[in-house]
Amino acid sequence: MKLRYNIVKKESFSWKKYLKENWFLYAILVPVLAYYIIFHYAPMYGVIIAWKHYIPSKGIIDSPWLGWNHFKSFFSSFYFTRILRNTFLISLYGIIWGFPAPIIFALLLNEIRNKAFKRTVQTISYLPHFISTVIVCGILVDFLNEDGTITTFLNMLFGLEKQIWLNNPNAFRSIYVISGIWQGMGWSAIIYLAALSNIDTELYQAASIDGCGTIRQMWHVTLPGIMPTIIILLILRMGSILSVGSEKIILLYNPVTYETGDVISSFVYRRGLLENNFSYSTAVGLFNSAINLFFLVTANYISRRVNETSLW
Amino acid sequence: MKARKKIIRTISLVVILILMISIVGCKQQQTYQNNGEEKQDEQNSKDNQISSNKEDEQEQEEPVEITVWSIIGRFALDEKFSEVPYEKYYGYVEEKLGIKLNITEVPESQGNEALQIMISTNDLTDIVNTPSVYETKPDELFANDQIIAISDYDDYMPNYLAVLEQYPALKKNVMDDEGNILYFCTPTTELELAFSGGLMIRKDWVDKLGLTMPETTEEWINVLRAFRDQDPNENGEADELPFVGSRGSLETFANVFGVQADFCMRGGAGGEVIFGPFEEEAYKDRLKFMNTMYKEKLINQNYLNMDSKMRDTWMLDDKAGSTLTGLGNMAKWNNMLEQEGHSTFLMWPVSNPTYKGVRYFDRTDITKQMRNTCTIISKNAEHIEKCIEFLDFFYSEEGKLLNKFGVEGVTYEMEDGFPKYTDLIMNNPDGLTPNDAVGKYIGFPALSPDDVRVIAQLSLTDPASRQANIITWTGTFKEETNTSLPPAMMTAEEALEYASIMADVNTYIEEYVNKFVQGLISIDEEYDNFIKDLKNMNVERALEIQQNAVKRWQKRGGFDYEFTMERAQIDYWDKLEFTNERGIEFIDPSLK
Repeated sequence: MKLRYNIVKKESFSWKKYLKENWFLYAILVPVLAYYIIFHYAPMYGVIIAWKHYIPSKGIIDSPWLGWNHFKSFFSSFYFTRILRNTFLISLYGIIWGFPAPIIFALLLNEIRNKAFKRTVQTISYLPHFISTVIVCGILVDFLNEDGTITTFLNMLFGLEKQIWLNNPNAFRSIYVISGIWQGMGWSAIIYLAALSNIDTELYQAASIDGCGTIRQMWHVTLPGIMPTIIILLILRMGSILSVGSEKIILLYNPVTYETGDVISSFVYRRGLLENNFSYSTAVGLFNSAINLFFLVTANYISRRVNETSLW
Repeated sequence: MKARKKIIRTISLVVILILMISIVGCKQQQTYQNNGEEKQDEQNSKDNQISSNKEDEQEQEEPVEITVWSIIGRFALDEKFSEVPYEKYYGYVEEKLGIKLNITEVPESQGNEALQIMISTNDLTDIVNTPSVYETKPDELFANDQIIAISDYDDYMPNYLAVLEQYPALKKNVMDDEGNILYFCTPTTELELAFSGGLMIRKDWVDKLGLTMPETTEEWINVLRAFRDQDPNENGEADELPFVGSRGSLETFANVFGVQADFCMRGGAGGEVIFGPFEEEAYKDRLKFMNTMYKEKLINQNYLNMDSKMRDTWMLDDKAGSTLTGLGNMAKWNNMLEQEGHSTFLMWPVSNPTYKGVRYFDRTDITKQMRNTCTIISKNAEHIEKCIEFLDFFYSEEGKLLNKFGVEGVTYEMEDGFPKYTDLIMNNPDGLTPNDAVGKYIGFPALSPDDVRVIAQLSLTDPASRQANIITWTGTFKEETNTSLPPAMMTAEEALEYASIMADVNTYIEEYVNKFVQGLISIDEEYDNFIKDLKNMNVERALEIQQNAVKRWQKRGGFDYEFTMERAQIDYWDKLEFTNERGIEFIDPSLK
């Protein structure tokens, strides 16, 4: 802070002098910039195959142009509305149920006074995050089988009919979202716990003198304290509303559950990799990114208007 | 402030240093890779030295170098010459043809990727022996001027042409629509070579319950019901799985209704293309059959995500009643259960059941009459004639023996005109299985016609396999009721249009068929909607494209399609022994 102040104070601002004094700061920036340019921006030219008939042996540049054909055939596809709806719904359910879960978990953890117990709970809740998706899905397939643990449990507890749950289109989204919460809740709670530890303890003391109980303190002190973090994370989450990862879907779905489980990324996977239609899947992927960008900008705009927290 | 500045400066220096180190690291890695290549070169030159020494002595005309690219399974080339003398094998061919082979081997796992890189950089070796004609797409390579049409060099390949003349259907398959022959293939000219799998059932259970082997689709259902209800494994629990299969094997089983999930042939490869769902009666029966299998728990309920390990477990637990798989599995289970002391277990082949009195098949390998592999010659090759002579040699009697049986006295012995593998192959001292030993000691990176004398010794070594391959599966085969599509080719524009229609259609059929099978929607009520949706997706146009392509295929080369595959003449069973006698009492007497 002081550094910047000095510069501003000078009467005539000289770039030369400024760079000479601060070159090392920019030197630190160079590798990061290089990384983004080389690995994120340079490969972007490949996106032009969305308007081409890409033939691997001819390469990206020499493949013939096709215009908007791939986009048109995607928008008029029999499955356009379905995969859009599925992607949107799975993501939305993920936000509605999955977004508050780590917040609530963090708030509850925060109230635990016994340090050893708190640590243990926290560590156990991280664990699922470190299990690879393939294994998680293997476990799910096994547990949700006709005689699997979860199936038996549901049968005993709620009297639900024994069945292979993954063959039930109505259950697919719930399985996806609930297992996602189980997998990610502990890990996502870390950032909220960090935000919680930054709240001034004097605020709690003041609140308790004013007569607030535990619940009131949580509502009036803790939640407002972590609200900026929540908003930023929610905006980021909105930015990926149409990007449901393909791995878990592909590992869990089957033709019977396409109806509720087939999303944009799994569609792109089948078209692009299984049917070698790279151009088509690029067009679909590009469309997906455009929608995501739209949601991100909108969420950011609304948030800036409503409570002055925003990404930019 | 000074101190802070210093810290930042130090950090930035460290970062830059790390960056530089990583760049240097990359460089080092590169040189390491180069070393690897050099090593390989050394290996190659070592091989070449052996041959060139020989040539120096003989003072013959200068041999020409031919580069060959090939997939080698588990064993590298130089391992071969630990037991098989080079000069009797590769050296012999090199000397005979005046060539010097420079072979690049690629492990199977990287094969297709390496091949695609070679194709996309237009850097093909003289001879490319590829694992799959579907991945290689010789017609596209020819259209892009990357490979030659070998039919332009007729004079140099008398043996290959003789094979093609003898089997005109095969000749059609290696041609493009203009009549150019594009590649060397591995012909499978006898039915026995193409039948490596089929339906099989627990014969001991069938006998125990007093049933007969099922002959029709209705009988199959009844036998499976009996397996489910009558406790054939006698453990007091209803834990039998009458039929064990994945999604693929259930669909294949259901192809006995004469229609496949989408496109198929009516009247054999010379007939016409039909679209399964449009053949309402047969297709509905097909769906109802699968639905019955699922609904009545005649098939494992998790068929959508079953893997072969589960099947092995059920088989060994004495729960599985029937399945559809390859010969190897049948022999494996019979052997294992015998070793585990199961006194009666006998998995026995059955032919496809009849539907309305007709026995249908879906054998793509019989329509193709060849294996998936293909060998192409690059446009860049300097000595095209020599390349063709080299490949053609392996279609001669001598070349076939050399390629399939190896060197006489080392890997095989001639017994009254029958090439019998030696103990180096059959009882390998290093403990290799016969199949692995063949992979290690025998074979050129070039193709020869398949030989029934190979499978007779390697895989038809137990009564069940021999019965299946020689009598049960092949004996009932009729080409007129084979519903597989021939390997026709679409033009580039057709292929693009077809792909864009079929992408939706494939997903749709896959989804609806499984919903019908699981009873999530009713076959009788929803079938009309199913057809209507398919028509909305323009599937009729796809059918038309498919029909045109097959018509062009049927006219290829200017001659009509004719089924030319034969039954193998095998009269040497007395020279071979069974490795396992399970089921010997049921085997056809002529096979003993």
